[in-house]
Amino acid sequence: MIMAPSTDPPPEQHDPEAARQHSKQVAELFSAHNSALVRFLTCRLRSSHEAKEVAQEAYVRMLQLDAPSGISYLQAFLFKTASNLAADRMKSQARRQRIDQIGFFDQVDASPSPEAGISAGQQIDNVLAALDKLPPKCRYAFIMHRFYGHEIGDVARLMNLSERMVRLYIERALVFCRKRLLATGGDE
Amino acid sequence: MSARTHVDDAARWFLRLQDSGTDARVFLEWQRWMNDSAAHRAAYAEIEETYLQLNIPHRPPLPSDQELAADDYDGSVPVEEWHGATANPAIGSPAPVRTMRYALAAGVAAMAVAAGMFWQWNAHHAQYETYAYSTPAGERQEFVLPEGSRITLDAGSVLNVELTSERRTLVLTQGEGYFKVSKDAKRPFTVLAGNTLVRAVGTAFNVRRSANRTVVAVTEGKVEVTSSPPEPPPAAGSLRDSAASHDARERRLTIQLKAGEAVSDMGEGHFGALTQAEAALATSWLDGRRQYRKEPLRYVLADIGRYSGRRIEIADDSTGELQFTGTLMLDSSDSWLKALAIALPVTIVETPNGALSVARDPDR
Repeated sequence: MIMAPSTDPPPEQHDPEAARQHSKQVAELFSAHNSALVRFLTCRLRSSHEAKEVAQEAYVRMLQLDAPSGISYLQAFLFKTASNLAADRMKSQARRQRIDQIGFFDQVDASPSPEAGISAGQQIDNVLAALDKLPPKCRYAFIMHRFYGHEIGDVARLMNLSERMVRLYIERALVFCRKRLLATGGDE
Repeated sequence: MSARTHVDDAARWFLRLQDSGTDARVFLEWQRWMNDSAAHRAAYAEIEETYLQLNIPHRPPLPSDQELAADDYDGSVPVEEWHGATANPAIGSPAPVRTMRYALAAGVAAMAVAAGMFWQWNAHHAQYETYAYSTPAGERQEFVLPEGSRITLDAGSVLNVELTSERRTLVLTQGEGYFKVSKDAKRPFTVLAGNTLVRAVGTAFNVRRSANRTVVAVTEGKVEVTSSPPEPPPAAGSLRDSAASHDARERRLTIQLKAGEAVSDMGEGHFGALTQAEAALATSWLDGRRQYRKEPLRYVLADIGRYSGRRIEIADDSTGELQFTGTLMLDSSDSWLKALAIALPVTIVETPNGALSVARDPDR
């Protein structure tokens, strides 16, 4: 099993040539995967601004890493490192939200810019219409995960279902919404 | 059952990567899958884009208990096929032959009910209001809902509220609240806490959710309380899940409570009655103190956790079952644990991860 890099101090680089090689490899990795990484993090954090910050932090961590072998491992490390950092940030987000009191409009600033040609109002209608068409349990599981930020295990407990079932509901919901939003997305 | 598509696989990968505990090995397998073909990468990008587009400035309404109970979708086919089987005209495309067979197998009557509810859902769409409230450790909040009900939410509690023209649905996921319900016979007021559902028209009652137990105490008027027994762990095969939940629905138990009465629900499908004296203590927290009479320590510690914001671990069941009788003043919650260690034969130590561990002291 591969372990993700932790917050340990950077290992000493004995060989300056190897260190230079590692920095170069990490830089290449980033230029190849940065946009995929930011998209991944935006889904996790619901904020593209925070996603960019975390991606940058992951880059720094990767540079501190003792060079592992193989570019595909490095790539997995990158996403796992970013995922850990995102999880830490979610925890502090949750703390902040508890203190601020979650209000009616708490997710406004997390909205991505709507697709060109669709107004924000149209986008909201499309989303609500797509969610409305989901079977109730499927809709419940998806809303609890996507909009309330509950982990799969918590949703399963709330619904008194197995985690496997909740996963299946959310997957089905995603696939269905993709079709609906693709169909309504280019109307205007 | 239809064949899995790249998009189905992409959704599965996407969801696995969303978990905060995902192993690096999963990322490695995901990258292999992504590198396999451009079709995989395109499907993944579409799912990711869908997730990002599904973002609106407020939380969408959750389906009602009745809708959830009437829902027979078990995830075994894609949602469109389920719509095809329910003959919902909103989706349009004719159902393929294999979904028609599915419809016959699953029972046409039940599906007609589900479709009818969708229509109602859409018709009243504009009248939704949803709110989410949460209180930090040690802080209580009072608020008034737009329809006039007053709620006092105790420390460390989470409450979601959904108001429609037909019902007022509240979900207390943790903590404790006191509900003074504004009278509106047309819109039942329900609070769901764990396995316990409380229904009221115009009345006042307290709901306390701690560990596996919910305690409901009525101070004015009458409420109806329903307990749902836990479901057996799901057997292999997705169809079993819905069969099990059907059985569970039939085993629900409903009772009526009037002012001065209280019950506890351990989530096992039956109630325990509290004495009048115990019922009278249920709302003592509104006056700035918590009074307990022969209360198992685990529930006292759950309350202290909500006030202090610290994670409290109980060493074993025999510690959790120790009984506490006494009063804790809410303005001095810091000294509570010290007081407990004096009143009961327990020791309290701080664990390396910052939690407080409470254990029975064998020497006392």
